[in-house]
Amino acid sequence: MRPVAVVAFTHSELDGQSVWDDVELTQKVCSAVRKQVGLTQNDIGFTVSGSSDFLSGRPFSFVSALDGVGAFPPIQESHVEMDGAFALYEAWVRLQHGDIDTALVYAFGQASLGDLNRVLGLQMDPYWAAPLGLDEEAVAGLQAAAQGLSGAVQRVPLSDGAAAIILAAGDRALELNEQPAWIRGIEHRMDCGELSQRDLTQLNSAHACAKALDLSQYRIEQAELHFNFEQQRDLLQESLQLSGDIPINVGASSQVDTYMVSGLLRIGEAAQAVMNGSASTTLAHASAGPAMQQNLLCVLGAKP
Amino acid sequence: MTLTAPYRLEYPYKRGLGPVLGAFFGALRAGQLLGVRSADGSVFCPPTEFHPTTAEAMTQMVPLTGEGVVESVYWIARPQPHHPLDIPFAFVRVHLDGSDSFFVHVLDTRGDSSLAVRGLRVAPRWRAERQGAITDIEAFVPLDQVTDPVAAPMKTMERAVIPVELDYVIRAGATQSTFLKQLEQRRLVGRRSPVNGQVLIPPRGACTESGEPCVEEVDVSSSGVVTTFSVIRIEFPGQRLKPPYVCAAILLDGADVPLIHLVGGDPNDVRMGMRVRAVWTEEPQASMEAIQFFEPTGEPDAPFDHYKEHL
Amino acid sequence: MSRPCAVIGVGQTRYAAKRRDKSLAGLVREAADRAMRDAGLEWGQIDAVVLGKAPDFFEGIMMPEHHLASALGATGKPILRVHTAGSVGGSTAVVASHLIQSGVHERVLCLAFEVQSCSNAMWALSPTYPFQPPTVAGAGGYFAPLIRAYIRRSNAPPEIGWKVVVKDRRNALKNPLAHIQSEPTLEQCAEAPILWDPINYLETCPSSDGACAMVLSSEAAAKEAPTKPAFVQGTSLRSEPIFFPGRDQVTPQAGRDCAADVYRQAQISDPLNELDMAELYVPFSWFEPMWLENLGFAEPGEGWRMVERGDTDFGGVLPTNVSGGVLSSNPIGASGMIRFAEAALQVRGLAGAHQVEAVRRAVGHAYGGGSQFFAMWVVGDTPMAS
Repeated sequence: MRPVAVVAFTHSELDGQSVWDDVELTQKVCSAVRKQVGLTQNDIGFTVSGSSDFLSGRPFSFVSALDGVGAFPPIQESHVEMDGAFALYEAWVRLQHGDIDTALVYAFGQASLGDLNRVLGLQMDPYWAAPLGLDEEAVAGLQAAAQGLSGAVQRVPLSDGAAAIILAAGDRALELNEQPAWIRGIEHRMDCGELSQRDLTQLNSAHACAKALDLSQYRIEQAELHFNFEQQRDLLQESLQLSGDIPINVGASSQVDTYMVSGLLRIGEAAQAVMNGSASTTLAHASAGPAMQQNLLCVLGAKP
Repeated sequence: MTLTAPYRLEYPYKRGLGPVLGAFFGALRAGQLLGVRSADGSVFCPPTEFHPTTAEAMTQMVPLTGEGVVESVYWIARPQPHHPLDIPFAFVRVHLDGSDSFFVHVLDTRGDSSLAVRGLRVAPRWRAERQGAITDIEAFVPLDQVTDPVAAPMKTMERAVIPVELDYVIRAGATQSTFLKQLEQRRLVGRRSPVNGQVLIPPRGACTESGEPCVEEVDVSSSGVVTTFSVIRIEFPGQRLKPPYVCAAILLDGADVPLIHLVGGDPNDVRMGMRVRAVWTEEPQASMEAIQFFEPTGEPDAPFDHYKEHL
Repeated sequence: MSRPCAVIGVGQTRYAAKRRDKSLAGLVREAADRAMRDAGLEWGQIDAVVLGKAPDFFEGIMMPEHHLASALGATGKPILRVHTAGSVGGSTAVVASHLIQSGVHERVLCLAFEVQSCSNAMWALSPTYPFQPPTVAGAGGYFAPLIRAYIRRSNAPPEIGWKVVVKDRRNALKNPLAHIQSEPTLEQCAEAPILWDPINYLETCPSSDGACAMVLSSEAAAKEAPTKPAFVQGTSLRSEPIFFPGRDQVTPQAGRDCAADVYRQAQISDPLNELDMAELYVPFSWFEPMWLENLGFAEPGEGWRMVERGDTDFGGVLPTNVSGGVLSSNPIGASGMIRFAEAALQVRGLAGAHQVEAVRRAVGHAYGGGSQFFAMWVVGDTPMAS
């Protein structure tokens, strides 16, 4: 594959409820991340974002956010209704074509506009889960119970916010950043859709990503993991067979869950550690769906 | 300070069920639990039409007794309005006898959390009046509290109506809040792009062309030109105005993008190029609805050349 | 560096106002099964799935890919969910083609759907969002002023809008999957009730339920396919903001750029003569002449003359929407992919009663938002020489 690296990363304030709207958040992170490497939007080959309509309660929330990007002259652009980490995957694929060398990836989410616990009930089976009032906490609770834990589950604190990353391929990455964070591997997988049919103690899709990456070949020095409930940390470490002495969630932005942005933030933090020289190989993880049904892993390194 | 307003998203979603779910929900109405059997002999309840790992289609329905063993329990000490019971209860996964899956439902132990444990044998407590919904089972209960359901004929269901209600508190961002508060003072204030010098109204957090922040405020006129418009004659759910009414793109004097708003009066009189002015509501408000609508000024129409670059 | 991508399977559901005979999983699977059969594949042979649909509000399911994983054979596989408004069906196909062209995967299933009967499109697209005036009135409310502007600029006569309807609905009679199976007369078009002036009822697309799927593959995998593949000769995505000073919404720059990009890749300099048919996203009849101009088939202001001459009829210079188009079937999220899939079917010679003779190259087009998101592809019977 063509070597692709993170060359710039930024995020908004992540201190709970935001005073900015989606356009302002997008404007701030896109503008800041481009400035880090001296690019304008015209220099960007491909732009892709992640966000959710149900989070903001309005259809096409990504349409107005595009106002903050600087999208004229028209841009090559796409959007996934997924965490920004999956948008980054799409950008990584696009850069493999070889005709463009840079991509801008951003994501935004303001979970505080609604009641995320209930909103996420709409991710589950549409025939029986909603009428039952099944919510995010209940599913995480059942997962914890399956792990043999009792008591109320602890949610990672939520914050509103946005993040942006610039990817660059080949020599262009080195022109833009003396020490880019090279994507050594990136994989994502989905588990089966039914809560009734899953062994909730096994994150099969996370495990499958680790296997596809041959994760054990890397000497991971820092892992930025995306889980929304504390007990999922252990599940994840087990599924990924991560050694207990690897520092987890060192990055400041990894202390909160910025719904729709968290995965991109984890990649950003893992990349930042490589870019600033504090680690030479790091791991980033993103998850989505009820009880972490979908997972993505990305290994970043100082060398391509 | 950003402005906030409550917003409710609600709809009674109608879902076709197809043969497998239709049989399952029809059986619930009859007081019976059905699973689906796959080619390898596994039984799933609730049934799904496709096998979780092989993706094979599954259609063979099998009756279950409804009894089973609690596999996992999550206790809800403080039920919320969206929960199905209003006393403390548990969400549970129940391993139903004869199935290879875990039925997710609620367990009612009359508020006693010590009874809600893994390994408890349970069965459904059926509602007397059933409609073919998951809530036809009021809750799973310990076996000694089970009574037989009131019998009802078995009939496949075709569709389900599943209401969704979500409450939001919408916040206008910083730029929009400023703009809305200016509207409350009956001022229309746009912002000038630092890149191309043009004036956007309503202002966005950025110059939409360049993505650079727009900070310089520019008062624009409350009069302008209808560049183009539509007469809305269709009726639809959630509509706030009674058709016919006119939605128009209005290029205010001093602005460089048209603003979308209503034009009052006889819809048949509205024309491209017509000069209009804002009619403010009597009570000031921090909303685009501070302008009731735009009305014709009676001035001569603007020539096409004046606004043809704004279509 | 990018390698060829082929379309080896196409599957569509029957389109109807209400497909209440199927669950959501059952409906998407109807399209997926047909695409898989066409490609001669088993579920285990698919490497990844790309799912597209318009806002989750239509079905009231947030990120339905989680619920649909088993129905799409995606357990244990990568799945992406694309949402680019009305253009999403096209964008989904383009994202899937990237997965092949980049060399990441050999065989990818892409699928787009909408079950509009779950709710009501006018409701879902017209939220009474705080602080805003009550001006939002569905897609027609947005596009009617643009159509008015087009008519004013081009001085096109009113019957152009009717002619497009009659043509597309006549074409739909040859497509057993099409939702609307009746051909109105010009007189009926002229007398149809106005919904969003100047758009009348017959000039408007229906609300449909349905799904469209394609299996895309590498050139090597296409050699093993049981039927003739179509090759992707160019793809493009272009977006621009919804409002900015001087924005031409009638013929947006993003649409022009998208077309220019896709023609460049397919080495097309004269699209009208080098393309044998077109599937364009025309949800309101007037958008046919508008897109004919925007995509370079006609000079500015002259697109309606092509319609008037019958150039876009079955058997014309550029048969357009011979499937019946969006005007005859509109499961919103899938509508873009149907355009792409129908173009591929034509190249493969598998379009049945609506097959145009000797199609070697065809274009599929989709747009969305406020005429601001564009997705296109050109498919042909051979891969592009690199």
